[in-house]
Order: sequence, then C-alpha cells, then structure tokens
Amino acid sequence: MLRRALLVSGVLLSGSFGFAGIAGANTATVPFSGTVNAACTFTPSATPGTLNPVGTSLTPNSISGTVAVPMVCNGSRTVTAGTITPTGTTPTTDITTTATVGAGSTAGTTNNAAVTATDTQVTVGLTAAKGTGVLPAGTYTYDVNVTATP
Amino acid sequence: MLHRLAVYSALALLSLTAFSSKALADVTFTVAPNSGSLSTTANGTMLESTTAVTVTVNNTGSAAKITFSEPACISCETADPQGTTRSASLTFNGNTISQPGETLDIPSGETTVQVQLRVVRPVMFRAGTYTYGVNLSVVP
Repeated sequence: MLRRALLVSGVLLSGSFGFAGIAGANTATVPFSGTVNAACTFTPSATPGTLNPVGTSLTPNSISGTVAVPMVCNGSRTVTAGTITPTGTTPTTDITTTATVGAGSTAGTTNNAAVTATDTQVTVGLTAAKGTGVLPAGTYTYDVNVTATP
Repeated sequence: MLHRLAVYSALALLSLTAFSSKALADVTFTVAPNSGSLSTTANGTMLESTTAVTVTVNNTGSAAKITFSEPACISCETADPQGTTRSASLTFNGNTISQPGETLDIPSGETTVQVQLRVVRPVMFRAGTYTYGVNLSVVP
C-alpha cells in the first residue's frame, strides 16, 4: 500500500513539475524597441587632395583635383558636397569654385551622390577657375564640407 | 478501495503542496508601459533604453527572488554580429543586478522593479527597427 501511494504521489509530482515549468505567471518578457536612422560617418585623411592645373598650359585658368573620403553608412543616404571654404593665403579674387562628389572612386559630375550601406568611400572633386585670365601664382587650399542626408 | 484511493490522493496532495510552496513563489509580473524605447548613440553602434521600464511585481506568497536572462533579439533589421554584447539591469529598492542569474529579493505584496537594456555591436546598426526582450523569472 505504501509503495502504491508513493507511486501515485510520484506520478502526480511529475505532473506538477511539468505544470510549474510552463506556467506563465512567474515569468515575463520586457520588450524594448527603437528605430535606427540611416547615417554615415566620414573619416577623411589628414592628407589633402592635390589640385593640379587643368590642361597643359603653363598659365592655366583653373586647377582641379580629387580626394577619396572613407566612410561607413548603415543605410541609404545622399552625400552632398556643400560649402567650399578657401583657407590660408588662397587667392579669391574672381575665382569660382565648384565641388562634385561620387560614390566609390570617381568624383562624379554633380555635387551629390546616392550611397548605400555597402559603399565604403566617396570621392570629392574640386575645381577652382579664374573668371578672366590666368590663375595668379600662389598656394590654393580649400575645405569642402560633405554631409549625408535622407 | 475508496479508502485506499482517499489515502493516495491525500498523500499526493500533501506532496504537491509541499513542492509548490518551496519551488516558486506565486508572483505575477505586469509590464507598463507595454514596451520601453531604445535610442542609438552618435556613432550608431549602441542601442540603449531611454528610460527604465517599470514592472509591477505582485507577490502573493512569501519573499521571492527574481532574476533575468540575457536580452535577446525579438525582431531585428539585421542579426547581432559576433562580438555583440547584450546587457540589462534590474533595480529594486536601491539594489541593482546587472548579470543574468543574479537575484533580487522581492518581499511579499506589490512592488515595482526598473528594467533597463543596452545592446552594443562592433559595427553600426543597420538602419531599421529593432526589438529586444528581457525575460524576468522567479527562482526557487
């Protein structure tokens, strides 16, 4: 009789183990949710790009060059080459500057380029041109502001 | 026959009662609001709860211990890459636990615990929506 009682108790206890394991009252999942917006991080080199005279003339009226800018993006964005700021002793009289940007290793032809999470760099191009005549002798240095926007 | 059955049942019920009271306290959790909010850091590699989620713990038994498991992705734009760390913390009455398996002592009655979560990836989170969950449970 005692053996039977133990057996029955054991069976019921096994059932209670199963019940305790699946009961929901003693557990809860706390969810947290958020949205990550697309963004790009640029890591330009400390070494600037080089501007060279356009054409073969010894007295050019414009200079141009490109520089690669490494970046990391987590989604699709548009990279825009914006404000161009002459620095140092750069001549500025009657000189027009334009910047272009392209995804990858070419500077493109416009001031903006679409990039995705798989792109690892953009290339920024800069041209400085004298309105009339030749560029005056000097050192030309510019900063180009690059932004990534939706 | 009926006598035996009554004896068996009585023994079984006593065993069940003894087991239940020792194994798990009778605790229910209520999460309010239903979910917490996550925001990303400037470099885009970390998602962190903006404010703690308050969980009401209703303990109808004696003092209980609660713990949590490592946070897990419920719905993510991209899976967590190798090197990701998922952490959480529970705070009650000035005491905080931040490692899965650690326990907080919860008294009888209704109390509240604060839950926070953080996920750090070795690379930027891909743009999209992410939901992570922290499982709370009572331990014997």
